[in-house]
Amino acid sequence: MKKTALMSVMLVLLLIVAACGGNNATNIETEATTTAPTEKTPEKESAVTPPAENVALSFMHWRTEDKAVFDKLIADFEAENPNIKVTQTIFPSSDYTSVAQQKLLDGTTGDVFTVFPGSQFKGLTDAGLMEDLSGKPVVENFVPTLITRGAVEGKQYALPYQLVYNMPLINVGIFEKLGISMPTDWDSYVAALETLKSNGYIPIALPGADIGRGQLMNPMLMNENTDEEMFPKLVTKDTKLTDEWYVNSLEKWNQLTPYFQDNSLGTKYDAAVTLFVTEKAAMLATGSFHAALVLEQAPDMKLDMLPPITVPASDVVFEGVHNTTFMLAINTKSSKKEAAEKFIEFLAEKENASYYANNTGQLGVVKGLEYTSKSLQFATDWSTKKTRFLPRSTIPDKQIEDAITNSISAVISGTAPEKAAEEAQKIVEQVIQQ
Amino acid sequence: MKPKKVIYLFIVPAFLLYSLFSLYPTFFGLYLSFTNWDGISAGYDFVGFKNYNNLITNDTVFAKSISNNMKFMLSVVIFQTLLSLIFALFLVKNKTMNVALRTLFFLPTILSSVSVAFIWSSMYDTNFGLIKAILDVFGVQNGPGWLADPNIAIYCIAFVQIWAHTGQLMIIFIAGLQAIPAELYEVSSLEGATKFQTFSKITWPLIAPAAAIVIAYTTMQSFKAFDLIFAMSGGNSNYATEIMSTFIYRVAFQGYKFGYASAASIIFMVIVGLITVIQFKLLKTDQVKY
Repeated sequence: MKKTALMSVMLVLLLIVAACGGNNATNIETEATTTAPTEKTPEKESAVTPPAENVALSFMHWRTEDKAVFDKLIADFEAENPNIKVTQTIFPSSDYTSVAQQKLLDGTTGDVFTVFPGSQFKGLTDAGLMEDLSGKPVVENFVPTLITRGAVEGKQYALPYQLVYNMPLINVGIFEKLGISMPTDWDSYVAALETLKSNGYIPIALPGADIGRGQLMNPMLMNENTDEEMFPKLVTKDTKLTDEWYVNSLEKWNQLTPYFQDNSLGTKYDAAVTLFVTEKAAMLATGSFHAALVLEQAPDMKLDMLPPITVPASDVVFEGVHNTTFMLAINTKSSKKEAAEKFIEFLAEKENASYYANNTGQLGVVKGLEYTSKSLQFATDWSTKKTRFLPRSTIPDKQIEDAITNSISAVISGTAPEKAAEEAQKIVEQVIQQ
Repeated sequence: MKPKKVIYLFIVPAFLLYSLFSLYPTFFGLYLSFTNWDGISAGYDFVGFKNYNNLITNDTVFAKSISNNMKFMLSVVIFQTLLSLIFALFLVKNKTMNVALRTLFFLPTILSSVSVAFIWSSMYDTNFGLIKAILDVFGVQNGPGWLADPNIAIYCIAFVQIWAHTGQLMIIFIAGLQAIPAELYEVSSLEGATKFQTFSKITWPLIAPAAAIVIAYTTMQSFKAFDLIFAMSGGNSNYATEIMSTFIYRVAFQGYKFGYASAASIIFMVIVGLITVIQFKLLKTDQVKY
C-alpha cells in the first residue's frame, strides 16, 4: 500500500515536471509573437476617434552600436504613427547571418530587417524571404547607382542604408610630416611604405585575426581584375584563382607583408585601431566605418583614405572601393507589410537618414544627405571618384570566400603565392562539386 | 495494473523529452544529410550519398578539421589528465592551504567559455597582450605568434582548454584518492616501498576508475569545444584552428548548406562513437580487491 502511494506521488511529480516543460515551450512561443513592449494602447489614452488597428513591428539588424540612434528615430516614427510600435531586435554581426535566417522563417521577428550584400542576400533571395520593392515610391529616395546590390534581375529586394569605403584609413599628419605625397602606382606606394617604416612607423596596421584580410583584399584586387563578375565566374569555371590576376594580387600581398605589424594574423581589429590611434601605425587596413571610432579616441587626427594602387598609373581603372550594406528589406512572411513599408519610408526621408548618418558616423545612400559629423566629412570627396563595388561581396559562396581569405593568410605566413593560389583553387573546385 | 507495468510510466516523460530533443533531431539530421537543403528554402532535392562522398573523398577542409580535432583532443586529454592527477596528488590532504588552492584551481571552470576566450585572446595578442609584456620584461623581442602562427595556434587554444578545466578534473581525482584506505599506505611504508612503488602498486590501480572517467569526460569535452575555438580563432586563419564543429557551423549557418553540414554531423557522430567504444574497451578495469 505504502509503495503504491509512493509510486503514485512520484508519477504525479514527474507529470508535473513534464507539464512545466510544456508550459515553458508555450511561453517562449508567446514571447516570440509579442515582440512589442506592453505599453498602454492608444485606445485607452484617447477618448476621441479610435485609431487604426495597432501594429507591433519588429526591426531586426546587427548594429548594436546604433541602438540609441534608432531608439530616437523610432520614437519620432511612433509619434507620427501612433498605432505602430517598433521594437528593435539586434544580433551581433558575427552571428547575424546564422541567426537571421531562422528568425525570418516564422514571420514573427524581422518584419523589417537588414541584410548583408553577397552570400546572405543571395541566400535570402533564393529562399524568397524578401519582398519585391520595385516601383515603390521609397526606392526613389535612394541614389540609383548605389542600390544595385539589393536587386536581382531588375527586381529591388533590399535598399542599402549605409555606404562604406573599404580602404585603409591614413593619418594625414604623419604623411605630411614625412613629406609623402599620395602614391599613384605600385612602385610609389611601396616607396611610401618604405619611408614610413624607415622612420619608425608601422606602415599598415592589419587586423589579420578578423576583418583585415577581408577588407584589404578589395582594393588589392580592384585593378588586378576589373571584371565585376570575376568571383561569380569562379563557380562557372570561366575564371580560376590560379589565373594571373589573382596570383599577381597574392604576390603584392607577399610584398606588403613586411610592412604590416609583427604577427599581423594574430591581431584583432581593436588592437589594430589602438596601433593607429596611438600613432604607432600610419595606416589602418579597415575602412571608413572605423573613422568615428578613431576620432573618438584621437579627435585631432586628420584622416583620409589611401587604397593600395597595385598597377602602373596607366592601368588604373578604379580609384577606390565602396560597399553598400545594412540593406533594409521587408520579410515576405510578415503580416504587417504595410506598416513595414511605412517604417522604411520614414528611415529613407532625407532628414531622418541624415540624422542617422551624422549620429552613427556611417555614410548613407539616401539622396541629398547633409553630413555635419567630422567623421563623415573627410570621406565626402570620395563620392566624386570612380570607385568599385566591394569585390568580396560578389563571392557567391562562403566556403569560396574562406578559401580566398585563407590564401592571403597562407601568403602572409610565408607560403609562395602560386602554391597558395593552387590550394585555394582546389577548394573552389571541391565546392563546385558539392 | 500489475506493479511491473506501472514502473514504465515513470520513464515516459523523460523518454518523451529525450525523443523530442535528442532522437528526433538526430534522425532528422540523418534524413537531411541525403538532401541539398539550404536551411531556409521550402524545397530541396534528394542527392543520395553525394554529400558523404564529397566529404570523405573530396573535401580537404573537412579532412583538415578532423586532423585539427585529433590534435586538439590528444593534447587536451594527455595534458589535462596528467596535470589534474599531479595537482590532485599534491593537494589530496585536507589542509587549509590545500583547500584554498583547490578552490583557486577550480575557479576557471565556472567562467563561461566566451569569457575565457576573450581573456586569453587579449593575453595572446602580440601587440598589447600580457604574455608579450612579460616576454618584453625578459628581453624576448621576437616571441611566438601564438594564434597568428598556423603551426601552433590549435595548441595555444588547447592550452586554454586545459587551463579552464584541469581544476574540475582534479576534484574527481581527489575524490578517488581520498577513497583509498590509509592503511594500505601505512603497510607499504612499513614494508619499505618507494614512492614510485607506492604509486604504481597502490595509488594508480585504485584510482584507475576515476582516471577512466576523467579521460572519457575530457575526450567528450574536447569534441564539444566549439565555443572556445570559435571565439578565439575568429577569422580561422588558413584553417589552422578549424575543427569539425566549427566546420559544420560555417557550412550550415554561413554557407547555407544544411544538407551537407548534416552529413558532416553524422560523420562526426560516427567518429566520436568509435573513439568512445575504443576508450571503453581500453579503459575497462576490473575492480581491485584488497
